[in-house]
Amino acid sequence: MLARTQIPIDRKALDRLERVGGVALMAKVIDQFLEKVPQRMDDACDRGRAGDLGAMGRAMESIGTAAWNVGATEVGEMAGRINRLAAAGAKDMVLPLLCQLDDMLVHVNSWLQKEKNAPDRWKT
Amino acid sequence: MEDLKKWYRAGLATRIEALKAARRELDGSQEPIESVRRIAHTLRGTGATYGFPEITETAAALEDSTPADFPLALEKLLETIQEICAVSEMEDKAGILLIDDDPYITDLLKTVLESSNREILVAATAKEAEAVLEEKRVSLIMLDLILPDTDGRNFLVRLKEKPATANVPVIVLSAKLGAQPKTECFALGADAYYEKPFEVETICAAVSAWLYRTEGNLRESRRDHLTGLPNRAAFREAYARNISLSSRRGEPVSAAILDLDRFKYINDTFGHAAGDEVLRRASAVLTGALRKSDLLARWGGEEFVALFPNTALEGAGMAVRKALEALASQKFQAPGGRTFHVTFSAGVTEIAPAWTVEEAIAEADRFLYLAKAQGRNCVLTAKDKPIHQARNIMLVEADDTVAAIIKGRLGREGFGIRHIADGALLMDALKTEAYSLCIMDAKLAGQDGLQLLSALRANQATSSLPILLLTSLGKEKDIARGFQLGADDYLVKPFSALELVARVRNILRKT
Repeated sequence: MLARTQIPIDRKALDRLERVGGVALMAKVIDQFLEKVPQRMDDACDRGRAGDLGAMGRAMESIGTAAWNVGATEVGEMAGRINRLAAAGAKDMVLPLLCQLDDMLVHVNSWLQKEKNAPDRWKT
Repeated sequence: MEDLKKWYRAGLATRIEALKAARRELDGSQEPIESVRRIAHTLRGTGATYGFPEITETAAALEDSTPADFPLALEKLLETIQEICAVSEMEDKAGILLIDDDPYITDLLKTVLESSNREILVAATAKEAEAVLEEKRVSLIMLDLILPDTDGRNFLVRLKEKPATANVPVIVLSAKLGAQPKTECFALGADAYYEKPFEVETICAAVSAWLYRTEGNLRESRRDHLTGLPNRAAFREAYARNISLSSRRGEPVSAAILDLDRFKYINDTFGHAAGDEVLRRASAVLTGALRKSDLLARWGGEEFVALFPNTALEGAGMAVRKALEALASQKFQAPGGRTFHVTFSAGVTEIAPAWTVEEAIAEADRFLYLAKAQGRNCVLTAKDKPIHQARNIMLVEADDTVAAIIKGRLGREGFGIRHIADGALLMDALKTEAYSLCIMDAKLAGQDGLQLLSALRANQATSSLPILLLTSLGKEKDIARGFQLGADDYLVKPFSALELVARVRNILRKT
């Protein structure tokens, strides 16, 4: 699990976004991540607790894709792992990992928010 | 007309480049000036014809300009055609359909794929996707395998079965990992497969590559190269979209089939180049005479089809008559300076909601046939009373059930049918009455129908009688032999009665 002091983002992913559509696209994708992923995470936790592992797995796919594209590789890996466990029906193993993922996301979100607000990054 | 305009606009890019290249060389020498004036001359002559009078106007100003006005007139022309090209880019948006119930994925893809020349369409279910596909032409589909209302693989099969979407590339985006789902999707017709989570950079590159390839192919495959009109495939697609939309809105739709009169004579007398020119000009005249919302397509040979959205029979009949007047008023010039006029005959029908394109065209074709029988150069609809002279058909068929079907179907079309089951009686029967066509089974009881065909061709009295072979001998060599022996057409059993009627009309139209 990520230590709070570590940078949770692989900057190369953000550079790739910048290559595709410039800083504007990078900002849009980060905004989408910050807006949509917490909602999806809440949804995943609710579904997991209710035992709907199929729907929870779908939420993990979504979070995984979102994470890979902003460079949150460890979040992406964790989402993939939870998805595989959900597909195998291992509900007991899934729920504690969901809590860990939630913690990781808080860290990633706060880093992305700071990164987004850093004036030099967006000056191009 | 819209397709012609698009085609013309697409060609303007090269004119822009040529004009810019000449502008760079403008140093007082005469050569680049002459080059610019030549381009301006061409644009002056073609702009208005293709619906761009502003091109003709600015090109004329440039061609006629004094040396002092020349640079300014050139800038004005460049500006005009660049504006037209910019509009073209806006109008020719490539449609990308995203089918995924995960709004984050669709939002992300929309964000990264959106551009001024693309339209991103989103469907969360297979049902929604079908509704989108009925109304929009898409160039690329991105499909998730897990959909709320069906397995994405089942939907992929449906996409590949439908003619309208069979050739649209499908990129599968799925969290299903490993070789098995990929292999299965490729076997079902997927063009690419990317696993989730995906990298947007890869997806963007893949989408651009697919669009570049398919848009070019699609445009070419939907256009008739001689006339620039939409072709049969494009008409089918437009028909399906229009019928579905109109039936939901409760609006009438009509269709027409137009056949240039005595086109074979034009080809035989003035040559095929003149025939091609007639087809090209007739296409332009007919397109100009119809409304922008109508669709004219080349059906094949000298046949055109038209679709009239939100138009009842009477309106469509009037539109086609107006087109006939427009064409008939044109003077065509043959090699050698001789002038001639071109007309067409047409059948028009209002389309019933459940009709397939074949049924609609067959119904319109029924009236086209009557229009030809009435003396050509006319338009007939179900509301007109044709002065129709029935034509007799000889049917040589050993199977009574098949004979009854043919008699019933062709009888309803107004043909007189004489049926004989025994081929040995044919020669004598043909002596007693005149027939316009002989439909003959190649496998007759106790007699080889192909030998009979040879005998008919060898006999002076029957050598030019049109013959349609109707037979269960469906191998390539049988068909080839039938044609070698002189059959005019060949239909393999089991056959569609609708197709038989169409083929009969087609043969008779040429005689």
